[in-house]
Amino acid sequence: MALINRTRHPLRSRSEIIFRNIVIVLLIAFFVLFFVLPIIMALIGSFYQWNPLRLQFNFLGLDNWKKVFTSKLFWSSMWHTVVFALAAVAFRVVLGLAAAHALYSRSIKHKSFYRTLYYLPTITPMVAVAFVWKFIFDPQFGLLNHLLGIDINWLFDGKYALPAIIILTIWKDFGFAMVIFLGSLYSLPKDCYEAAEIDGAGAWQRLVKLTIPLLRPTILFIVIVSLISYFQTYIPVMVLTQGGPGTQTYLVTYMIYEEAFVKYNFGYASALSFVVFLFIAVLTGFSFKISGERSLS
Amino acid sequence: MEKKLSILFVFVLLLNLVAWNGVSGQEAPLETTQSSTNPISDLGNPVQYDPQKPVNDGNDITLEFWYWTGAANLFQSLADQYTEIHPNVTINLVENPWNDYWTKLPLALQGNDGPVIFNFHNNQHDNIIGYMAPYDISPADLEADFVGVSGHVIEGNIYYTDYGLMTATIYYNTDMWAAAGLTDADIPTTWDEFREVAKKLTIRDDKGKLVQAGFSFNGGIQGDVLGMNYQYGQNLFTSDNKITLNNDAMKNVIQRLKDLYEVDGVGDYNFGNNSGDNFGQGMVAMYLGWGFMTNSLSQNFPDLQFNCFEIPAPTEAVPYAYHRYNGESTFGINKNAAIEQQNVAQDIVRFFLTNYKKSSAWPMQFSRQKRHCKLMRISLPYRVSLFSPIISTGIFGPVPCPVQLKPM
Repeated sequence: MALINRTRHPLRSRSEIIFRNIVIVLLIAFFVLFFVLPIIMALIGSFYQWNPLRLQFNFLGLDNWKKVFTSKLFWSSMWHTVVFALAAVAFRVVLGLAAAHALYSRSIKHKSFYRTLYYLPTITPMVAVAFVWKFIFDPQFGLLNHLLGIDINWLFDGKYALPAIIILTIWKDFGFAMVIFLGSLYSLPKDCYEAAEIDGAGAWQRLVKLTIPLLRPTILFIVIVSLISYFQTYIPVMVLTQGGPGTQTYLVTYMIYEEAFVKYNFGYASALSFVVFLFIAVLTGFSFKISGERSLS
Repeated sequence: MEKKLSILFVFVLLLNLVAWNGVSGQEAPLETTQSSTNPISDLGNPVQYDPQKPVNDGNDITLEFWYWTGAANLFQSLADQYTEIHPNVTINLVENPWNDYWTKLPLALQGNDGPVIFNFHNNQHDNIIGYMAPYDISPADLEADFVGVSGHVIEGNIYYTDYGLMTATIYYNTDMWAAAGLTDADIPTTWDEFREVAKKLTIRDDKGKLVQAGFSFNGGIQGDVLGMNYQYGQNLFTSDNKITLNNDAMKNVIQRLKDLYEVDGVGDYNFGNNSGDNFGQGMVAMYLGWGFMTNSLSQNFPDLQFNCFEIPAPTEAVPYAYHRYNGESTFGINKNAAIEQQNVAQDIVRFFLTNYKKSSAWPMQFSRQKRHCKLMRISLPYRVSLFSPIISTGIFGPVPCPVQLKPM
């Protein structure tokens, strides 16, 4: 009987049980209050003309949703977002893997120093980074033009504004991928590499035929996490270009920010948010499907 | 009998003394300050202010007064002047950054603890008007003292009006001006003259690289262009309230700006990204900015020596308008505040509106400072007779700045 009770109630004292219940209730309350209710409210609000500053809440039906899909700005913002996300993810993975592989190498000294150096931008707040890069991109006294010996107005030339934001994002974020890859590299089975060396595989072959396939789950993790994160990017746009020149750096989350917190058009912003939410959900599901199929194969 | 009459006389005397003591006890705070104040302000007509009239029956009352960053001295001065007359009133000034202000204010006004009185801008009309109480001054009376009042009347009530007008001007760096050998006589009045002056103010190095732009509109092209169409008699809206941009006037304006860079070489699209900041940083000799930049430049670049002149016109003839303008709004009163507080806020608004001598600093702060604009034909406010009739059509949105304005 005592054994059965112990299995059913692992917490022995009454105070522990009360404490557990309080913690769980608080966590649920927090989750409901700050996640579930706002999401439900946003879903409902997407069918309304909703301006909280004017206490305006008028039913519109599907008008906001129709507006999303017929808005040229939404589709161009979506396109910018896809370009931005794919480019940033690709470089994040490639640079992160390259840096991790280099640091994994036995020929590199002071590994901790480099690890810290590359990881520092990741833990620096994006707003601060964006302001620093605003100066770096400056056409008159910016470091980038000076170093490269070029004359480009990075943030105010339509050809370069989005690439500039991508460059900043890659610089800031590749350290995260590097640390994750480095951890995975250390956990790879050593005997596979010993066997490959005995079989005469070169460094490049070991990387392509062995390391990358073994790191596939890690790569997938980074890709998914990055895509979700990059589909929500708006801080560098807000600091560097405010969506300009024109609307050439409008990312979809920046558009949501503009609609919600500049125009206070919460209804339309909610509809936009749900479209992006569904897009990310589909993307994530698709990624997991690929991941599952590859794991099985 | 005589003794009884004496007792009655003493009793009445004592009663009078007690009664007088009571009255003087109530009004004592006002008596101490009213001696130095005019009985009735003669500056407002017909809107008048009587400083002897007690507010809140002389009982202590506290108000919160919100405003945005940039003119703390003016608000403090107003509060000090008012509380000097009415020491029973305490005004708590609360300063907010501009961007936060327009989110915080309407949300605060929804509740019971919002500011009783607040600084207001007409571009936030739609978000705020629902929380504002109408002034206890009739629009007709206000119209006699201020311009453009009719444009603010809503169902017979007035919730705010303009105490000053702001428009654009050409700012120029006086050190660069002097270094280029220019004097006040060189102030251009036509665009052709302006282009020549801009060339003189432009400096390039041996390789032809721009070092100092004679003029820049980078980052401000929208503000520059919208308004200059009026110089050609072209309104921004058609008679059926549709916006019109694709017209000859607008093309002329844009072409001129392009020519300044591409033909005259006085600036460059890549030479600085914000002409206002670049002007302050000493990269640019002239730029077109709105009146509030006088204050911003003075605060952000205290060593900068600058002045301003009226926007040039296509010809020597006075144009339909030089540029567009916008009004600086009087204070809003929170309709959800306690009625006693609202009454005091109404009194503060009346005090402000009728006190021209003291409030003249306000339009100067938010439009242009006289010391920087000696050459302006369009200058400080504002008697109705001095305004072009076009103002009576309302002031929302971009409308032409009348050419008839002259200082009071």
